[in-house]
Amino acid sequence: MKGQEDDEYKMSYIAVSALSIFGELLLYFLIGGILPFSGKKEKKSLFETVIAGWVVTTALFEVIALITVRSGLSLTSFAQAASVILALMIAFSVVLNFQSIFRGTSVASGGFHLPFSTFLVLLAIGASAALALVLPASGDPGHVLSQMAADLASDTMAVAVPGSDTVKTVLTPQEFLVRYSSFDIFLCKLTGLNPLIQMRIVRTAVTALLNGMLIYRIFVRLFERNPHQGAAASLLTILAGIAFRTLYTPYGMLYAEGWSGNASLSLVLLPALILIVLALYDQRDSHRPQILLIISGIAAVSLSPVSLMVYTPAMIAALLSLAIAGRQPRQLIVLMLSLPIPAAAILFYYSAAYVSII
Amino acid sequence: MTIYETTESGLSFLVKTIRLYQQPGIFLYAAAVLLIIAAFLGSRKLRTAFFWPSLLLAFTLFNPYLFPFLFLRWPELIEQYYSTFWAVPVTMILGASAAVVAWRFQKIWARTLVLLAAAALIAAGAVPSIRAYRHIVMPSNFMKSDPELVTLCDYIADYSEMDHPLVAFEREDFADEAAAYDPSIRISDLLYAPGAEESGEVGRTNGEQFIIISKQNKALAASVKQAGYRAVAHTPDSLVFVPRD
Repeated sequence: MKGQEDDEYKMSYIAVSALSIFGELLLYFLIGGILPFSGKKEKKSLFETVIAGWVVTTALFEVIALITVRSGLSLTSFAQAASVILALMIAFSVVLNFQSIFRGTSVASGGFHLPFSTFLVLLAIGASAALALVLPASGDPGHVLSQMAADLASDTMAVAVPGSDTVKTVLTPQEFLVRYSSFDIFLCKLTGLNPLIQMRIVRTAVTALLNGMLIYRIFVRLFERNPHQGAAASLLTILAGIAFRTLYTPYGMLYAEGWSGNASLSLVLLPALILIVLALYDQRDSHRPQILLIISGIAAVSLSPVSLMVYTPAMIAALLSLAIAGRQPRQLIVLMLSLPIPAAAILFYYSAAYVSII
Repeated sequence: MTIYETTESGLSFLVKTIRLYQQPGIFLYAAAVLLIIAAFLGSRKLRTAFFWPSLLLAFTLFNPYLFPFLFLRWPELIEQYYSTFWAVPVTMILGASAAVVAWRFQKIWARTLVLLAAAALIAAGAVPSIRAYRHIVMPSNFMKSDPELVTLCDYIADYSEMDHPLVAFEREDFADEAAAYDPSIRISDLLYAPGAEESGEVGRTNGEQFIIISKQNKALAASVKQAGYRAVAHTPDSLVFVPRD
């Protein structure tokens, strides 16, 4: 009896997880169509569109989370508001990109060609994501990393009960919203999925895949004249990520708590900042990277309690670096204005959730 | 670490943070050296993306004489200081700098040698991690459920005469998670007598096949027995009750 249930459950878990990963990335792709990295006349990148969608979606949820925490709204109201806003954004994106979506001009132009070096990089991204799923809970229970992962998991476990207005959790609802990006709650409410599947497994996979996409796109932009050099850099980076994983390094976070805000901050948002810097470097006349820079600061708000300490200095360093690169002063002033917005949002948010810090 | 200790030993605090939270340290040091080399050999774009931000952060966030004053007002954040290292993309710097150095060589064999040397350096630093990979298996408890709960659910699966047993848990977190671990389990709520939630007196049952309660709660155990159940098994913290008939 248990054996049969076990096999059926594993199969449905695998199917649901795969659908969730695909669905989440598709959502980011659709939202990213509203504010891609590239200008109108430039060829858009599939990966950059997904990354832009992640930044915008995360920022949206942080704004809603901020309102929810301050106003004490129920999680059902939060999920309903988020789903309506997301649906409107998807519809807007489809209308905006109608031609390119249905004619396929922005994703594939003139046939599909995958260089071998690119194929290797994509394979490495997939392998890294698979390792992130398998490694932490496996192995000898006495292994330090497995034990740490189990401790972290039991400490931060939270369960949303579909159909109820509250989250049954070992944490308060405010702490829950602070620790987890709110997209998980939205999917749990919408689909009735057990949130443990979505939050821990699918989220880890999505974080790992987004990190892989970022590594790939950063090096494509950096070594635009030499794709093989970019591929070599990508492969070495992915290898270093697998190797450099004590618990408190970004990849240690991925393998121990890949679903957490810390992992999203260190593996997605901070590398996305580098991609934004490169886009700003490449496109001096386009406003889109500038707007993405501002939005990325908002996305940092409740990802992690250390967002203020980490992301704001990183943004300042990035902007000063662009100044050194000869960016025009007027544009830099506009970019500098992006700093107070996330800093103020973070302080405002944590004054509600973590009174002791302020 | 108290604030006093931090301001007294900014440099040693930084070194301790690297030793505790940035291991293997070879990656950090190799990235620093390679980045300096790549700054001279690489493009302006690479310097904009990696070199200048890292240098600026090194003189501010990682300045052992400055950062204690930056974080003095928030002592809780000092404990999270290791997070600031996330702002420096060590692995990307390693990959990019190695690629820049490799492409300085025109010959394919020389370029390949440099890349292999970089990969060997990374692999050497990864030796402790590689040992752990020998134990990779698909985990049976992939949702990292409480081991106590796993034991209880496995017992229920082994000894239940029904395909979908009705089970009541005293612990709410177990009740929430049990169905996730084993979807054949149907969860029932313990029905306490009116006003008896604290005393743990069970009013009536829903015909559960299993009732799981804490060993500490002797009042509830007595009440469950009175409701027609008997204890048949136990774990370190829990008792398993089944109907007497």
